[in-house]
Amino acid sequence: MNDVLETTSLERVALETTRLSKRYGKTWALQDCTLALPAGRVAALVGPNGAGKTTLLHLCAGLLEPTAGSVQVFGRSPREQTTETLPRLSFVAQDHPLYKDFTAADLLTMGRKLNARWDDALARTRLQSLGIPLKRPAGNLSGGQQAQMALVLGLAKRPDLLLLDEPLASLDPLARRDFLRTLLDAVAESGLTTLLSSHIIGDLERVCDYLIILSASHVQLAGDILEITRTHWRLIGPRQEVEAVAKGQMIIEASHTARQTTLLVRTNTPIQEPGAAAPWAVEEASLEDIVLAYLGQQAREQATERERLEVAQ
Amino acid sequence: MIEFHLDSRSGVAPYLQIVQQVKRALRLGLLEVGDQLPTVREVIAQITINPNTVFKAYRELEREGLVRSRPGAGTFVQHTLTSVSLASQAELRESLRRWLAGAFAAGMDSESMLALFLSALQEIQQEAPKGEEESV
Amino acid sequence: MIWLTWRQHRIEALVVLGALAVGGVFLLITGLNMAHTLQESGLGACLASHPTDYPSACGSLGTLFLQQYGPFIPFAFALLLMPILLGAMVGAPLVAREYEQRTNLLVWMQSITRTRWLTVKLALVLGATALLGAALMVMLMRWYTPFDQFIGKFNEVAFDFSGPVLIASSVMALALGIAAGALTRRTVAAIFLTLALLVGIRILVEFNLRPNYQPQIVVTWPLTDNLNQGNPPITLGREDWQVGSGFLDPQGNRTNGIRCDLPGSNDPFQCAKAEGYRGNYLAYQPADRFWTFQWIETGIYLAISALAIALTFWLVRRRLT
Repeated sequence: MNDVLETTSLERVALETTRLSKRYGKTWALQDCTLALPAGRVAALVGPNGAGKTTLLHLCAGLLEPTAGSVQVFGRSPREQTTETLPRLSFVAQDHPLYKDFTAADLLTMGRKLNARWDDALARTRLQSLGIPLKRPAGNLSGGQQAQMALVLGLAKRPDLLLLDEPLASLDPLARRDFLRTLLDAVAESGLTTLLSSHIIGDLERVCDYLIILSASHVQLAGDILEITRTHWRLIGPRQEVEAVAKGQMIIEASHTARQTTLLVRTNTPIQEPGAAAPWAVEEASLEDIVLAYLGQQAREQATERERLEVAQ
Repeated sequence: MIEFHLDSRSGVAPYLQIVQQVKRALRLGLLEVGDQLPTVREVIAQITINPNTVFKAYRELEREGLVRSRPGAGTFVQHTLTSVSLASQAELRESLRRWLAGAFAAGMDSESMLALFLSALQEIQQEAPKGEEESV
Repeated sequence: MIWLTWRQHRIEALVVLGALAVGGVFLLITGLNMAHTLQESGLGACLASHPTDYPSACGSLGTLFLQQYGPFIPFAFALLLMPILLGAMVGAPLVAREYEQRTNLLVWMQSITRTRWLTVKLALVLGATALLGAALMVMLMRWYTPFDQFIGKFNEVAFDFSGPVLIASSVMALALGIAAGALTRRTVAAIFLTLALLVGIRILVEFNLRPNYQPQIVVTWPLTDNLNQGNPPITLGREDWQVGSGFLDPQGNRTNGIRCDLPGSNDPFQCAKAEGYRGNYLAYQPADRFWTFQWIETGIYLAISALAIALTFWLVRRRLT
């Protein structure tokens, strides 16, 4: 099931998919994915390896043809209307591929020659402030520098939408911080929309303000992070089998010990007072716990075929 | 210039942490009327944070009337939170330090001191409720 | 995109130019040497006055010349290996390496469609190859002129470079290499596949196709009793291409040698007659078919190139990784 929290209708939608699906042979890499990413957000696409994150990003970048459904970047199909969308769209693939024998100067020249909109001065300034030498072959740069180079190439195009596939995966913590700084600075400067995929959840909340959870080729949850944290709660109470909690609440995860039952629920409206869900004690749930609950949910569903409980009201 | 920090484990939303830190600086007199808050890009250079978060925090502070953003110029402090002068604050800080030294000498740990302080604060507030209470 | 293609292949281009220059110097030095000898030995003057009589006239002079300069011919033809090497070393990695290193994900996002990317690359690389083929053709034909005067162009030695065939085969080598790379998406596999294809085509053309673009003219005459088999009823000119010669076995099939099973016989030809061998044969292609053959073979190579190019486009558009 696809849970998309409402976004303000006043916000422009940068990226929209409608029942997007992709099949390779007999396997569905992506099924029935619907989401609408508002412009200006920094969005995280999380999910386990093999969940379909790369496929989704490739579809959004126009590199793949959908098997079913559609994807629109600022209202246009990236695959069909390439000339309109490609100049506004940047994609940094996994492991940030570069022409290893090209120097940074060569890569900038390539960008300048192939892209109509190209800010060479900005790219050079960024490379300089990052300490990346212009005349060294890209293959001789450190991993972190290569990642930054790929990012700078993507940003120099002045895109309106930037897609990144696991950009932090192979970077040490320092390189990771530097990479994010470059990215976020560009977002602050230009208001571009960003979607980055990761299988690591830590530190998501400080960098991203929108979350998409992809698991087992389906979108499990998509929405504004503040909204998500306001509407997901941990309820702790005496051990019991839970058929229903309360109106407008949905159980995402339930776990039991001998004496105690812990639920992670999603509510339509925020729980204002601690006593509102008596006899349950109410706690805030961290974003990490929420994500894990949704990811675990799919695994549990597949393992036990237990249905998710929902209030029938 | 105020420097922000983010505590990922605090459970408090990042934008609220920024708001709280600005308010704390205002209370302590570290920020005065007319001071400029760091630009979004300066904040990002300090801490790796989503620019929308900073925008949101500054908008919240503006909504509360504490700061005002001037397009093209920056965000400036409009209103402080302390009605106590810096000199009085320094005096109060000194007497607090003396009290704390005494409490340490008496063998109290910091949690007990905090509990004592909070309970005494509650007593005073019940005896003579003040005008506006600060939300903690 | 033109800049990008140049930047990616500039080293290869310079190496090719260098090799061409070295080859050119070699051809020049030996060519001048040959021209000098032609003059000095009198072979040139002899051939000039007996244009159609070789080898009956000027035969001994010609043999001397061939003995002296014949060994150079394989070195000159090493230049013919250049297009094949290019096909394997430049063509095969062209598309394969982009997939292998995943740089296709970088370049296809640079506001350029896959079709345009491939079109410009192919146009430039194949165009440069055609120029290389043309340069080799001119250089080798020029160098070969002394030999041309007594063994002509219509033979296994000179046909490959004496016309547009060389341009077309060069383009085909590259086109096949590129297609192999698009198919395998792995550089090493593509190199092997390219070489296998090029060698296979070479063998097919050389032994099965080229001798038969038009039906061979076969002349037969009966066996004689002695070693001198007598002259064939016709004399081939230097511009005719002798495709094969030998004997007709008892079934009437062409064969090169005589199999002799009768015991106690020393003379193979007596034996042959006894076994029932029917005669001698001489198969050839007349001189006036030279240009027809050149264009037929050119067409074959260009058709293969076109298929390879179409396949490359189809594969590249379909596959991302």
